Amino acid sequence: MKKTKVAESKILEHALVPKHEIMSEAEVKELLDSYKIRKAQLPKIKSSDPVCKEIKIKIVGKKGGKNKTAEQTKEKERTAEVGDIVKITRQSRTAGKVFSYRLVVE
Amino acid sequence: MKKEEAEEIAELLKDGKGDFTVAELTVGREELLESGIEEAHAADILKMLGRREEGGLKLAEIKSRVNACEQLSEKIKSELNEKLRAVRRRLSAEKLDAILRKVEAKYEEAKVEPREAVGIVAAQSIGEPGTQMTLRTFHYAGVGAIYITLGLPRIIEIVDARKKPSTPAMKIKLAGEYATDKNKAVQLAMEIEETFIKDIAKIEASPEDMSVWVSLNERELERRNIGREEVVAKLSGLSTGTKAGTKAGTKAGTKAGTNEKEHAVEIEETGAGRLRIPVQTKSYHELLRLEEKVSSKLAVKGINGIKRAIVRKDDADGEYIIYTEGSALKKVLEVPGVDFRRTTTNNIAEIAEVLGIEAARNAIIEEMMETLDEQGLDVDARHVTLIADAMTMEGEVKSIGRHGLAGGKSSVLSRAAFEVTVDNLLAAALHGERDELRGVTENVIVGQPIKLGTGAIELVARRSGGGSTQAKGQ
Repeated sequence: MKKTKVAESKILEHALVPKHEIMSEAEVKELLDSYKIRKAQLPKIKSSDPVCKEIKIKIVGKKGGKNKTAEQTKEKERTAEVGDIVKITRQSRTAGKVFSYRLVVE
Repeated sequence: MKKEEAEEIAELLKDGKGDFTVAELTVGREELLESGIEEAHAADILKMLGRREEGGLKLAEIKSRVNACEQLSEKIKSELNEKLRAVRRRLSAEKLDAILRKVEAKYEEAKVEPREAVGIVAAQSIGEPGTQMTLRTFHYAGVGAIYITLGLPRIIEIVDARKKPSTPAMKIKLAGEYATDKNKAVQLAMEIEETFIKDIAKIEASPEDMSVWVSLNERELERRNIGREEVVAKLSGLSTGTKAGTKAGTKAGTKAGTNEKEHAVEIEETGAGRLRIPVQTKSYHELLRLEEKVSSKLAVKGINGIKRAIVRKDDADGEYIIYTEGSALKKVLEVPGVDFRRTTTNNIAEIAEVLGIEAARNAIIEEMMETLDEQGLDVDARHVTLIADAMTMEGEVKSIGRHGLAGGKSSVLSRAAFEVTVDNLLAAALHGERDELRGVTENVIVGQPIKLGTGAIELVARRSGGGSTQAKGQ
């Protein structure tokens, strides 16, 4: 049987998997302030979670010389790391679109 | 929907900017006139619709009849449609207002007061209908003989977060022409179903010539689309001899040399689709061993774990779906022709592993609601959602019970009150644990007010002299 590497890269498209996004630092601060909570109080998601390995966040390249462009493009994306907060857009049965947050842990 | 939002929408509609439509709105003469349709036209429209009296007409109905009417010219038709749209909007503003108010009232009704014990309510809400569930049900999905655990045993299974359900099953949706062409779907099902040699051939051990005879069943071979060569190739991978078989081969020549008992099998093809596999060492024990190997371990085709695959036509949209007994989500998702977006399994642990914790949460909700629905029990999704949330809180699927959520509680008394009281108290005593008496159970045990509802409120008095004094609410 022919096997293609489908599942690895496409799990994010599966009907059971809601949209996951890594939040930027500013967004995280806003979230924590608005609920007056600490990061540790959020539900958790493991860094080994298959979705965590797939989602990426764009990083704004540091201001540097023009000769560093190659490095910058490399660093533009990264996957979820421990300490990040993942914003999850769920489709709720009762309330339409619902945002939920999970803290990435070991 | 929030109150502000509702008002915002209502406001928008009053201005006629919004494009919100409510299908069951009704119109009469007055509404037609109000929206700028001339009196003669309004009368015509009502007449055309065969109505003498005003009101009680569905707007959509008027619209379709206006469009269907042959006497009117296109220009007038479009003009009328324009005006009907206006009627609809203006009506919406009033009716929608009423609707939204009702929605808001319902929403307020469904709200939970702060500090209400939602967990207890969820437990009761599932527990009570649970008493009406059949204790032991096996349901046959469709006409095919694939059965899955349902009813109370299934709910327990989900809540216990078992690594493997008692009856793993998959629902494989197909992509493209596989979903519409039955033959293709069946073919794919055959690809997926795990096929052993014993399924396609008769296996006999013959002590006379010390060999195992494999008589291939041509019809089965054809049905499952397996070539003879494939079978032979699989068989030649076998080796007679002791368990050292594969290990010795990899571990350099040292062991392989000393181990004389190990041989690769020779296969002799004879006529009439029969294969003969002679045993090298002429021992009866070895012969039986080889027979056992051939009949039980050799999968010729398919995915490990999928015991059976059946094609069914979905009644709702007419597409073909493969139902399987046994589950192997990761491998099945990689099979070309499978619609990986919609393919699911009832093994929640597997979903958590392949698709992540959020997918597992969704699967828990879906599976539980499905099980409850199937039993005819109407449980609000919110209770089930709460359970799924609690189970997936820590990033992995945890069971509800002393090995999971209840066992993870920080309070000694609470854990002891749940299950295995003595063990918990003993362990706590050995480790010198403290109980902060923050939870409900602990406080009930020691006879203090519990921190729930009004009991959760503490009073803070602000004195004129500055500073605040905190007093515990009674």
